[in-house]
Amino acid sequence: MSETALADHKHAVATKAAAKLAKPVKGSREELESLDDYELVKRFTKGNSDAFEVLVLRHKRQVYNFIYKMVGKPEPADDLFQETFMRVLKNAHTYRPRAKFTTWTLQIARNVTLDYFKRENLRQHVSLDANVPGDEKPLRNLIPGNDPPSQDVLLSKELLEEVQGAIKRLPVHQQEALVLRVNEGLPYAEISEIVGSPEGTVKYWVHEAVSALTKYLGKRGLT
Amino acid sequence: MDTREAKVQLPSYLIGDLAPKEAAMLEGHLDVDPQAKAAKDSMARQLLPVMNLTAPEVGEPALSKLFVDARRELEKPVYQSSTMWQELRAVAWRVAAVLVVGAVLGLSIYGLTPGNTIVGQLTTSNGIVQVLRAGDVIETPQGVPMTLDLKSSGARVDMDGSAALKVSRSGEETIVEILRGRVIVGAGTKPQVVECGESSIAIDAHSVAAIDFDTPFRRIVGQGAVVELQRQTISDVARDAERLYGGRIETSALPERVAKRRISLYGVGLRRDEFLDAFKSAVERYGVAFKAEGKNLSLSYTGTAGNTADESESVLKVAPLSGSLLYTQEGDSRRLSESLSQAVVVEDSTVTNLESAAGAMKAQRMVVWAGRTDMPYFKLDATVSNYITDASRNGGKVVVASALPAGTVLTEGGLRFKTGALIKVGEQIEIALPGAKGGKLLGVMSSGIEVAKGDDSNTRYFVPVSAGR
Repeated sequence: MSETALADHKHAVATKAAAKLAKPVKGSREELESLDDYELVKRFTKGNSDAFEVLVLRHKRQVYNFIYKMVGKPEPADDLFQETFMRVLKNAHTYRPRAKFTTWTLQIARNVTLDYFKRENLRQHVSLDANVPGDEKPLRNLIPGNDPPSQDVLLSKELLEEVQGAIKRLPVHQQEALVLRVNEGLPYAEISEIVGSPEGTVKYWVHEAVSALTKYLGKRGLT
Repeated sequence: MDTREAKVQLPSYLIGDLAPKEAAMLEGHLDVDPQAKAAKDSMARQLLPVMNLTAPEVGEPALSKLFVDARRELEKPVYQSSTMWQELRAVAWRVAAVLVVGAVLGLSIYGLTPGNTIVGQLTTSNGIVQVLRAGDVIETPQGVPMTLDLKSSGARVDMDGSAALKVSRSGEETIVEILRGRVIVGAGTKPQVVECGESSIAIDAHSVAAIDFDTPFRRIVGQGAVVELQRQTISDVARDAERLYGGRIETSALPERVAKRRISLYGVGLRRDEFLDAFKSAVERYGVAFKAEGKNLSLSYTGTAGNTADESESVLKVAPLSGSLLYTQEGDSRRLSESLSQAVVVEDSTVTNLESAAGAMKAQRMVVWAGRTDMPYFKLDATVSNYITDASRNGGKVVVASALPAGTVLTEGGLRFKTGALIKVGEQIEIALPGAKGGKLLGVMSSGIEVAKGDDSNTRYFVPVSAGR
């Protein structure tokens, strides 16, 4: 066999081997991780708990972030996260792949969070225009110098807590639209599906929320 | 535009909601209106902590409890019995369907007898030929293109490396379904139908189409022996790196929208340092910096707003490289012609029709990649003139060069040679090209790179990736 033919043969063998290696064993964790969301839903509705776990691990960050930014504390957020995914599990037979799995799950997370607000009677809306204890302390003190935005600003825990507090004082529909759009970066079409309101309305809410927050933060000395 | 109008638009601008045209107009105004510029800077400072709010990870006990509860729930008989019923029902439907079809059409109809399910043949880049049957899924490894010849329609399909498709039969017609990657389809004497997600592409007889379906895909073989990470989020790539090479890569300091930016990374036989170098280079353009802390790394966001435009999960690009085609999605049909330099781009089910310059820009990389195909009916020179506008003045051409050195890692933002040298898109690259010592790196694909000869933009080189290490 000539050198070129030998090289070609080796390459062909390597190609075949790579193709073989690339297929994970059926039913293994690796195979489950390679499946799309709908396939995993189908698997766990047949009793495969590993498929459910892969799905939770895949989307836990986005779902938890949304819940946490709505409620602002880890303790209820952990409980609401569990409740969301248990509802996902129990209602999986109603899921249709017309909607993205994350959209469907965030709809559930939203309902769970709103139920919690209602149950705990937590959303007594306080306008950002109203004075609340602590407002007298100017936020400027939390920002080193008057430099352009930098990582230093991001590291100020106190500032972030202030901002989180301000966000919680927005009307709930503005808060959820703001979190899904500005923090989670979802497209308006998807947010519209999650909150069940038209895209134009959601855009208006986000715009209102941003304007109210910047106005409030400006009043508090963050300029 | 005046200061008041500019201020009204600032919130939308800063969160990336303005259309590119409106954003450009506002930016033009900000350059000449110091009052509006000061308002923008102030609002950007106020929005920064809002945009960068982080959340902790879900608590481990909460996750464990959820998994225990879920297992208990899934052990209930209702899941097991519904499964049995569903499976029985599915089998019953299949049996009924086969019986009905068999009774009505008879088993001798072409395509139903087992011997007639062969739809064509598959040829690897090394000339190995395999029989192709209806229902086969063909996946090409990274850097290994393959060719399909479909016997019923006479069509030919050139698959790039890291692509996947499925062939099926509908009566006498063979349908190609693209699952991911870049393919060039040349119809024979009959039109050829190609499906891709919700899109259907009917390629006219003797026409050639380029289809690029950029969708999330992840394949890692062994300890980095083959790495194909396509359109994966920055945080997911960090998790993959942890699993592959150990150590911790902290991403919690990244704003959520930055952590979710998508990157692609392709390599063979990657060591940790090679992987991380390519990763660093790919995320740099999103304002992400790496900081070493012993064996661990942490990623931080150094920029301000960065690119805040929506990013869809998948992008489909379709362009006729020769002749014409009919693109259809949910009843909406658009005819595209190569002579008009047309193309469509589909993001989140939204179809954008691009004509002349815009179509040419989107299709350019596909044309360069197609430069190496010897597809029947494909007139490369004419296609280059129609789609590579700056190369058309003096009769542009595409030249296929020898493969890149083994061990080169590709990301969409640049490449890393095995020597450690990093080259970003837009920079000079020194490699041996036919008739040149190097040129400007114009773009990177999973299967190779596009280079323009230094002083001669008429010549575009396609430099394929080497399949070996």
